[in-house]
Amino acid sequence: MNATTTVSGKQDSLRQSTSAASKMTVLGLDSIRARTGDQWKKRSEKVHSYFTMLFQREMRPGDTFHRVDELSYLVIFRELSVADAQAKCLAIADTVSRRLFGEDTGAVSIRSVIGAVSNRLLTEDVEEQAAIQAFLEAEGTEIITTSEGPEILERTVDTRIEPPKELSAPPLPPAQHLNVTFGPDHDGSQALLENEFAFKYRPFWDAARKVVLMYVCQPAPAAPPKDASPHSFAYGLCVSPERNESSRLDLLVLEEAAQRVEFLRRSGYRILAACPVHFSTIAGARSWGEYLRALTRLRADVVRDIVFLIMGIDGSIPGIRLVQEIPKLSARTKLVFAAIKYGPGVVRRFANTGIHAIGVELPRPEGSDRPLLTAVDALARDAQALGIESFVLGARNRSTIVGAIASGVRYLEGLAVSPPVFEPRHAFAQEIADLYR
Amino acid sequence: MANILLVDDEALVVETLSNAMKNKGHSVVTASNGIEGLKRFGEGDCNLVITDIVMPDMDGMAMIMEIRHSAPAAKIIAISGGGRSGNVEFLKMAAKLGAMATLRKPIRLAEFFKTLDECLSERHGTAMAVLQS
Repeated sequence: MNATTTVSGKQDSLRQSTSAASKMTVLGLDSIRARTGDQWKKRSEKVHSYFTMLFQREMRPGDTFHRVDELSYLVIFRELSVADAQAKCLAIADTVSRRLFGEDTGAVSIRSVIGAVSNRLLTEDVEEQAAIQAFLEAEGTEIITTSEGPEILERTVDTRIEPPKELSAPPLPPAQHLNVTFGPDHDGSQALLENEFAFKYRPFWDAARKVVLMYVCQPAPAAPPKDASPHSFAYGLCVSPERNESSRLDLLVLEEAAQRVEFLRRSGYRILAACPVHFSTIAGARSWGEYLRALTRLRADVVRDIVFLIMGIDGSIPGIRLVQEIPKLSARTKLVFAAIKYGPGVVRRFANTGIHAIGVELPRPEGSDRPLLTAVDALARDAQALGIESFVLGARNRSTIVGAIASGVRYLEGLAVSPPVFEPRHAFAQEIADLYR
Repeated sequence: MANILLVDDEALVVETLSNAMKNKGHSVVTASNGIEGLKRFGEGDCNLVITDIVMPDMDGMAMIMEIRHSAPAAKIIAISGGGRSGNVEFLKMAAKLGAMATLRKPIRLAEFFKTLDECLSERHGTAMAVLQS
């Protein structure tokens, strides 16, 4: 029985709790147990002693935690908002993960109990619900109600993690607030940059290490161009290179990604943010000057976690230009990726550029995957011959992913890998098996 | 003799294995990807499915899952060379998803027929237990 069925037919009485009940966080250790494997029995007490110690260290008077069962805790930080409490729980869990595994694995599930109906709390799980209820009663927690509508019942358990407001990276302002200016001759394309941008982060799976540590920062304009696929990079990047808009967009992306990386670092998390940057931005004297200035304004530790994803390299750019231009970026960061239009001999032109990986964005599938897989296989073969890694963007089905991995492609991005998020949190482990769940 | 469905996108593999099995008296139906394989599986009374893993449109692991869902007792052998990367994880995954046996390409016919005969003679549950032990 799930929460929604628990309350069906009682919608008149449905109310949402905003008191301590709504601030309760359910922290699940299933993934930690899975990762610990056969060792769980031996190590579980150590895991729990870590959590206990950290909870006690972080808690103030009035806060409380309760070990519901072997794999979950209920936690209340009474003075914190839901988002802040979730962030704190994540920080604690990550500390435990680092102690256990030597890295932040994201190996916990965090949920907040956000609903209460006639003293019945809404969660997915009946046992959990009973445990929460018992816990609240023991705590003497008052469940108060608000008049918020019943539609919230459809999301009885909130799985989205939001950073604490005071630590949160400020939302990226519209372009004009960033002193992005336009000449008087701009027409329809001007609207693209004057629109407010949302930024999506597309998880970039390292299939060799079985981890998502890197996220591609993708600008998504509020008014996307007609016929643009919402999942394509072109969706965010179809600006007019003639009007230098691509380089302005690159600056926005860099700024957003840097803010995100910095915020996460301050919160104790780490991701790599891949910034798409047009080749024309690197190659143009003025645009590169602006980009370099923006780069040098960033803290060194933030730049280290920026990965550049060079877009817009077509077949007309000679190899010597690539050797001249790409090291401008590869000298400043550990990883530079380049998205290309694959063709015979294209990959070879990236020799001696310092590039880490080369890849393609897959087109929307039409008909069989076979031509795509053949092209990806050729790309991976050429990259391997050059001693560099390969990647694919826009993998939309599992057969493409399996085929790409079999070809030796190391990095994969796409809806079939993991959907984009607005606020990346930290690295998470991902196995091939996860694609089939 | 058995009705066998062979699913592989490599024509040479299909031809070789198919002819070899026919020579042993088996009846063989072939398909070149998971989608086609599922269709053929639904059409006929098949005693055993032999499937490649890396295939376009629907890979072997997805197909195994689908078959397991609709016919939990179906006997399945997964075969794969793991592509250029030689990834053996696919076969491990296939076993977890319900393949009775797995064979790594290139396949020696003697080993192939030994596995085939074992699978055909085993009751499903017994074979799974052997593999998992």
